[in-house]
Amino acid sequence: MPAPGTVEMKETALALTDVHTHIGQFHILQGVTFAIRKGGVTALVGRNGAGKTTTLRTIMGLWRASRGAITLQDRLITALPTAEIARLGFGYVPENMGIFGKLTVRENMILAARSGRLDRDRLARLFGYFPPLEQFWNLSAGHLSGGQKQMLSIARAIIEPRQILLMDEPTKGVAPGIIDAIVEAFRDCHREGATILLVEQNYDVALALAEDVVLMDGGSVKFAGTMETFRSDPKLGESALGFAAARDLNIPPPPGRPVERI
Amino acid sequence: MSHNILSGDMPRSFILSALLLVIFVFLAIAPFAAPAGPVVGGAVKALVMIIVVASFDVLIGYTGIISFAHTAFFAIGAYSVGISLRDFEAELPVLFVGVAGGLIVTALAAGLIGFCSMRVRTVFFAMITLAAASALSLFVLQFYALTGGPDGLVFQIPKIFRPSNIILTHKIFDRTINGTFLLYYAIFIVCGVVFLFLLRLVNSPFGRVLQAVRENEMRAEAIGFSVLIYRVQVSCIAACCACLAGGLYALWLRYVGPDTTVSLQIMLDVLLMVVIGGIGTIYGAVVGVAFFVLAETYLRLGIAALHEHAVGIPGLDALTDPNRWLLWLGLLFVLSVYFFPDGVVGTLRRRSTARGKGAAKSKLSTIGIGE
Amino acid sequence: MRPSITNEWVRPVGLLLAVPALALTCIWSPATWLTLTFAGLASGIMLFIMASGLSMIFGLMDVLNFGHGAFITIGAYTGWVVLGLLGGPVSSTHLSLNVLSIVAASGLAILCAGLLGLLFERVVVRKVYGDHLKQILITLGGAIVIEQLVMMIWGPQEKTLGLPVRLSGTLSIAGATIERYRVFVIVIGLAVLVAMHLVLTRTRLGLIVRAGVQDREMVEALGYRIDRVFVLVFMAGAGLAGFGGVLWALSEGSLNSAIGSRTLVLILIVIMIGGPGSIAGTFVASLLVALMGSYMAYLAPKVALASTVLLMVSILMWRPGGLFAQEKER
Repeated sequence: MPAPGTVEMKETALALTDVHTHIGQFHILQGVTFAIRKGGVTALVGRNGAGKTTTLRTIMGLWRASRGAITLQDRLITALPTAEIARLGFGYVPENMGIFGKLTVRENMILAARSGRLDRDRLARLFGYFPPLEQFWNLSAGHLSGGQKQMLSIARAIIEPRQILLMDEPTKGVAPGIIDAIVEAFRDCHREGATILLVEQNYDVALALAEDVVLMDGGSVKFAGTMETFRSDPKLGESALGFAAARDLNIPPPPGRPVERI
Repeated sequence: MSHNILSGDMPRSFILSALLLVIFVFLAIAPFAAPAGPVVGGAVKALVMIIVVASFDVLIGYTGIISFAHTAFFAIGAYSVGISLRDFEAELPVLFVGVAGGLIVTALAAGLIGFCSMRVRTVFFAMITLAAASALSLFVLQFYALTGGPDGLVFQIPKIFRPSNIILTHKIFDRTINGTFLLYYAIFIVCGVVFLFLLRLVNSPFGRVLQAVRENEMRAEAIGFSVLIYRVQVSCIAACCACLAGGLYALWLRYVGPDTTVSLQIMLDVLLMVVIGGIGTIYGAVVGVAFFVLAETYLRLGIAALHEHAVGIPGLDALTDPNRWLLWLGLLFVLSVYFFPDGVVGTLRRRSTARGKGAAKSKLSTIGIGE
Repeated sequence: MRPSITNEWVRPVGLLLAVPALALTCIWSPATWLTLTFAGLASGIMLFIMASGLSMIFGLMDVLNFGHGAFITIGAYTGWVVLGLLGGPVSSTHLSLNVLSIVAASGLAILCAGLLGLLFERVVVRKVYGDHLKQILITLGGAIVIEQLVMMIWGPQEKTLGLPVRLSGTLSIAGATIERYRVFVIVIGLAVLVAMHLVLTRTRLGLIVRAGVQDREMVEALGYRIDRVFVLVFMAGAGLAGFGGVLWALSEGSLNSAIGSRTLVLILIVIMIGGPGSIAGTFVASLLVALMGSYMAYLAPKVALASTVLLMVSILMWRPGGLFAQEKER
């Protein structure tokens, strides 16, 4: 922990440089450039169709960047196969949750534990956040409700400590009570030192967790900076979110959150 | 004028145009070429196969449907003609009824199959057609009374087409103009018309819808085209072309049997011809067939010659055994799919366009045979 | 064992039980029915062994290998060679020696077919992932080449294959004549099924395969090199096909180079009916197709294959993805 008053060195965990992605003839990502601070929580926001999901998929290698570079702490990962990228320490919650419906909750979790064994303590903690997982431990995951599947998807991504967590709308379709649990779970990971890149349409959640914001529109980055800067500029909020509400939100940061000093 | 006849689908490559012209001229004068027998027989086979392959190309190259049942329709056409001429008088009206009967059965079957394609993925559809074709082949072999079983049927053809029917008393180029000539040119004209029809079909609005369906089925459906109706229609059209071709071929051979119609090898031949010629080009059928017919004759001769010299050398001896023709065919096939996915026509056209603007994309690789 | 039997089993099993029941009403004599049923079960199990590999390959990696028959052929010929060399144990009256000779033949057949599978995957299939048209064409071409090579090496004539002494002949069960070999096959087949089930449900590899069939992308995103898993599955599938080839050739008593392509059509039908990627589906479908074939061969032999095709089309109209269709997440 640097002493108060000194300049914090911002180490980059993940950097995208002029990344283009084509899907068929569609030029979805048109020169995406941003960097994510190590150990920080970054919200990736923007309208529907701005290219947020495509960005995450491109980072994971599920879609290949046609141009540009993606580096994970100075290591070029643009052309690596997805499995190798994942093994470098990524946890990924896809937009469609990616649940294996015909496997049980237990089997889904076992798959996610790359080391081969489920950490009992960690699992117990996850059960604390997401009780249905314990309740339906031996049930086919396909029988879970939407919200429960989302819990499973997130639990899979964090069953082991990960360097970087890529989350694509983790609170979509989830009841408000569960959202709190999810936010707490993410805060846990954050405390562990994980870097989080969060695509969130739920701006309360984004505002509660994120320290940095990357705003995308039409396949490129329109803004990359701190949450404070983002919130202080009403034009950004409106143009990105399509409504003026962002300006009026005044959610105080949760207790215990380290205050940034620049 | 040629623009109109070819429905605007010009060869677009000098070499290709030259090739097509040579083939056309050869087919037009074949009966006058020497030696009469095998060359003319080869020409008829070529004409007939051009139609089979071209209609197959409409399915696979333009609509994205893989149907192993295509040669089954060829067989239906052949057997309809054969059975009707055998069981009834060998006269023209009977011939027409036979052809019509075959076309009706074909259209119904193809329509049914096309309808089935609605509920299943393309790949499943391909396998269904394979199973159906196998069933038909077994049917042909087993119902001896109707189809002559493994031996096939021999029958008489209408008098007007027989060699005994002398049409002109004096000879042209030392050849007697008889019923056989008439038959040849009848086949030539019918095949020519069907070919031009197919060319027109794929270049018409209908053809463009087919291509749209192939590229992105959901989008086509969203725009308002009933994908199912188009598939059923194109299935029927292509199948009927194959059926007609089968009837013509049976008429020429005066014989129809499982070896000339339902054997798997014929389907493989068609696949090879369409791949080598170029998928999605229609002209590819002409080039592919020509290549294949030439290869079958000369490559075989070449291998046989090698065989003479290879007697005694164990491996080489077996490799060049004339019975192993299929081995070379298979290898040729695999190599062309790997290294030559555009086929002759596609490659020639690409080279031409490349000289002009940017190179066009390979048809084979852009055919997204999707769900 | 997997959790409770869910609804998805009810209709397919119902269908599977309905066919023999219906057949019994057409074939009055229970003894004949029993003979035919055992024949169908045995054939079904052999079909299952040959088809399971292709089903998993198709379900897992969306690869259509029209050359799968080549593995069957190679397996059958390897088995023939081995059994030819083991004349002694084959003609011995000791059951154990007989079984051992089949084990040896099968073992070598699995090995050879598996290696051929590896070669095939590397050289032929690997280059055409994702392109169904090219896959169909290239694997067909590869199949022809291999079939021709087999003919080159062993000649085009049919070879006879004799059953080991103690496994040949018939038993009498409830007044019906049942071939001993068929009982043997059924026992072996069930053992294979159990083994497969255990591998799929109890091992990590099995878990990866089952997950991969549903959502290949997600498995990769979890950090598993699914392409490597695929090679293993491909080889295992090829090996199983080879094993099935030996059993099939023994049951027919003869083999020629077309043994693979002959059975391929039935295998494709089985996979489509059962649903690609599902072992349960392949198993039920194999039994269904074989039982149907067995009864039809007795009742109306000329339309046997046609009726099977009809069965397939009707099932696909009812359930387009197959009886145990795997809904892909993506």
